[in-house]
Amino acid sequence: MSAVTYSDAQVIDTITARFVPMQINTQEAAGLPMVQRFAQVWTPDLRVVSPDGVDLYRWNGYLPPAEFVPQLLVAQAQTLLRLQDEPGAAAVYREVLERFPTSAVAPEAQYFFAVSAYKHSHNASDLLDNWRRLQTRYPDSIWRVKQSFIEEG
Amino acid sequence: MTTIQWTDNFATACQQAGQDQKLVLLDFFSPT
Repeated sequence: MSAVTYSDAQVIDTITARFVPMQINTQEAAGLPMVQRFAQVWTPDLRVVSPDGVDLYRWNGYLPPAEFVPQLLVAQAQTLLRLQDEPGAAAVYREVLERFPTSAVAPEAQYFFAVSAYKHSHNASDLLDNWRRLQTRYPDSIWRVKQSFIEEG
Repeated sequence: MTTIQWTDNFATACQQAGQDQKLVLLDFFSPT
């Protein structure tokens, strides 16, 4: 991760602008309290944590910069959504869809953009119209399957 | 070229995130 992903200018800019980053070496005794606190088992293990110390999004595994940046944004957006900042979440999900429409996390962004918009507006069309875009933009995605009940009937 | 400025204290990271309206990013890693 350090050699490629964390040396990328876009990764550096994204982390610096949106996060306070902390690395934990899981092989050192000093890292053990954090390993135990967050039930950490495999590296790389990335967590996005609210200022009150609760991890609200996580993923495992190496990602190159082209996938790491949209994954970071989806993690930020999901955390904002769980912190009940629906407009903030929707804005970041929209950013993923506009800047990284072919990234691996774009279908997840489409799914939760719909959720964020609906939870803010309480207008069913914000949910259903944006979920339907999964059917055309990301038809093979698991996130299309997760809204497929609206395709029946 | 700038680099990522990693914090080494979790409580400080949370406090800083609250002040700056940011979130904390934890990277658990294993040097190999």
